[in-house]
Amino acid sequence: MACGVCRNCKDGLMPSACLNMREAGFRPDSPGGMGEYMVIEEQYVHKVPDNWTYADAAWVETFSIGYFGIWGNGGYIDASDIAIIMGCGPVGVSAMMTAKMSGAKVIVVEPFEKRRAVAEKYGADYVIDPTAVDLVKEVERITDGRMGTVVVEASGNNNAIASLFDVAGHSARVRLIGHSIGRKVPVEIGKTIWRTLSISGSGGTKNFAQRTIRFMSALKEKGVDFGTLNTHYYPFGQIHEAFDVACKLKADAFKVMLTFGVEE
Amino acid sequence: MKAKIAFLHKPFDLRVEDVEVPALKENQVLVQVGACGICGSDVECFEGKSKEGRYDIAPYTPGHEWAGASRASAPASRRSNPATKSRATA
Repeated sequence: MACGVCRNCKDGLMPSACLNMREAGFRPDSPGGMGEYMVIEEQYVHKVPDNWTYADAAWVETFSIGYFGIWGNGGYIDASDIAIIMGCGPVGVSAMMTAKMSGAKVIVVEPFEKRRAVAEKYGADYVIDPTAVDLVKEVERITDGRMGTVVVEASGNNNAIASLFDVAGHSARVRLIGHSIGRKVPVEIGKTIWRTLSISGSGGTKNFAQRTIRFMSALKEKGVDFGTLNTHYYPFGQIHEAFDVACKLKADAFKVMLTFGVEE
Repeated sequence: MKAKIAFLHKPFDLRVEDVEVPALKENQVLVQVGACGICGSDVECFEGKSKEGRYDIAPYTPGHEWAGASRASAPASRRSNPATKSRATA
């Protein structure tokens, strides 16, 4: 939530560059949605189709991260691409659906079995357990040596980050989304030169919500059910139990959704 | 109007409090929350593993994966959409 008047905002930089940045759900001056009511500036409020559930609409922010990760800031993908998605959590599955819906062939790399099952259910062409096979050889096999042309890091895992440089093909677009801030991760950075990689990241956009709603609508028209991504629902009154599950069952709790009993 | 709202005071210290909902300022809307996802970053903040959640100026209300119904807007706000019965998210 950018101020619009600081030097960086006036320079047209991303909202995350704002020198007075607020962030809904992370600071007292910009409260989030874990309450019966919230107050927020209308510029951050977007109408969704009437036939969506609130739980569907609560996926817009998450989906926008994976979608923007591929399409934001000049990114693109099409049916000529081989996308490799590292990590199939909520953002990874969003990036995966974005790539698939855009026509690319999609490979998902995910060590957890239940998350590989999610990837398969939501349309991945190939899923790889990097703990069971030689990841690079498997990608070579699947792609006939071409490797990935769009490689999305959506896990924040050190091994995944390091392997980006091994599975990215020549001239690949490498898009970083997963959190790794505060950690130094050894990578073979020289492959950026040898393979002419284009590596980019982006934190925070405020102009992708409308587009995300349209993209999700297109997916829903194709039969995608966002509701079944929510493995756990808790009424707001059980928020402590909800956090307990989200903290302790990270591999099983794909998405924990708080509900408030508001008529749909 | 009072509402039950969650506040993170420090890691693992999440309290649901019955508080007065702040009056709307210009260009703000009141949203009745219908659903809110718990993100991995919410978990990281809850567990004190991330600096994104600002405990230095806490308490704060978490939740960036929210959706709800827009129930009211400040009288002085300029609006392009009807204020009521529109599901909303950000």
